[in-house]
Amino acid sequence: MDRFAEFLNIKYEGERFSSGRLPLDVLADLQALEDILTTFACEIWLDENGRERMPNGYTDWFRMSLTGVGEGSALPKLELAVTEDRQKAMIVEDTKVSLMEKAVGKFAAVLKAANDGSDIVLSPTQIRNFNRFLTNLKPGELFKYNPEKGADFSDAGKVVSLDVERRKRFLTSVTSTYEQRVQGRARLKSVDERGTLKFSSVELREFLAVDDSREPTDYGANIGAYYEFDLTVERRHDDSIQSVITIHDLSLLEDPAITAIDEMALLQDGWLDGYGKKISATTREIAKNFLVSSNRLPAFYAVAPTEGGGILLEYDRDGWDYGIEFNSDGTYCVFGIDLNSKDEFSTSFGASDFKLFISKVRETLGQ
Amino acid sequence: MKDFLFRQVHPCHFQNGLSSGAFRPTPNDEDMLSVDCGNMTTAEASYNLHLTKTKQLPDGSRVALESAGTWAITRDTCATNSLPVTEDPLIATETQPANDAHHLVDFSGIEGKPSRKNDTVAKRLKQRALEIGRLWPAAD
Repeated sequence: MDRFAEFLNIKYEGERFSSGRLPLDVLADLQALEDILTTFACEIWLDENGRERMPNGYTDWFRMSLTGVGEGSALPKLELAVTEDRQKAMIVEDTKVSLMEKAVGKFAAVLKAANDGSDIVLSPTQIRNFNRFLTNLKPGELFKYNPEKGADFSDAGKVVSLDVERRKRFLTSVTSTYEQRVQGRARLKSVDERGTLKFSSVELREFLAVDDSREPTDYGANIGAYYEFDLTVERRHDDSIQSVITIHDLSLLEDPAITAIDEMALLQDGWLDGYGKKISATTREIAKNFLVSSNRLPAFYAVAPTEGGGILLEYDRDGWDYGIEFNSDGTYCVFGIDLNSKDEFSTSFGASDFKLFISKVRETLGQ
Repeated sequence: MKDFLFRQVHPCHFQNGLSSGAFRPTPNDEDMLSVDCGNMTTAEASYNLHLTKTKQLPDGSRVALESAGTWAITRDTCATNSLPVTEDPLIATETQPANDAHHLVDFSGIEGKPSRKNDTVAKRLKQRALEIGRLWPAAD
């Protein structure tokens, strides 16, 4: 068996990959990458040899292993092992090593086309393989490939890269949907007798999931509650969910802010020393939707109803004290004071400006 | 407790942490925030007096007011934020006891957008109250 160290020059970039870290979910990428390369090798062999079936034992031709991670960045070092000592007669004009080199060339061509937004034709098997590749990539992260072995990734003319958006465009150009692993929070809207769960979330909108590991009644008791999810999903062009492929985790969310908001349902008119309007279900829902769609907010320090029937969330961050207010008329307000100066701001948003409001929150709270 | 102004905080304004909502003048207060003068009463007495007040429920019955405790701001903080403090002694009625220490923090002169008194100015007062801490019941 011949071994070829560092036969693919690839790199991951993003916060999760800093200081040479390689999150374990990358292992699923590398497995998909091995399948992509061996499938290309098979397709090339079949095409070049005018055959319809691969010879026996072809699955042992290639083995990829992760032998390490490059220092200073997430550079997976991949080794290719090639079996050359058996069935030589099957490859008359070529060697398995050069076959793999051609497969790598096709892989590079696909990445470049994805990078450039060019047309790509893939077999159904390869569509499935590419759907499993980079499934865990998050917004802001990059996968890079440099066809020049051992070179760094500074040559923009040679290096091709994929991010979440380019991956989506690439996959939806070859098929109508794409797979992605997603994490977030969603509200359980209903569960039927077959155990089909209907969730809604700000980012994924409505989607259905079936969790065979639990009885439907376990969920029935929590309709209206929020769940934290980790799913591999099939998404359409418009990012809506076609289906949930795998439930990695689905846990009832225990968030003290959401609990406090739920408890506001008990407040009646006059709750504040004889004054204070009740907090409507709509206002409570909007505030909770905000909380579950804002994974990276700092931990809140206070949540309270307002006399006018609104909800006020307050946060400390970097010497500022921020307030986020959901008013009973559907309007929003973001405000804050600098604890070390007289600096302050207050910005109001109309009921239809939820996206602008979220954008302002992200800007001020540094998400 | 010199120059402290005691504020009773509703339990809804103290969930997980102290909300600046506790330092907002409400429309019903006509921009006046009720406080008790720390030179004339104590945090404990202010708290106990508050609990003897009542409010009317929709069905006509009356229940005692609630408080998560006594917090304080200072006259200096009010002055810094252009909030005049005036005496407003209360005489006893059927629903509330007399309170000679009662004062009003006047938000009506706050400049800028009308919401300022509710958001940023109330936050300044809350920050001062946090620095002082809850005065009654004493923290564990």
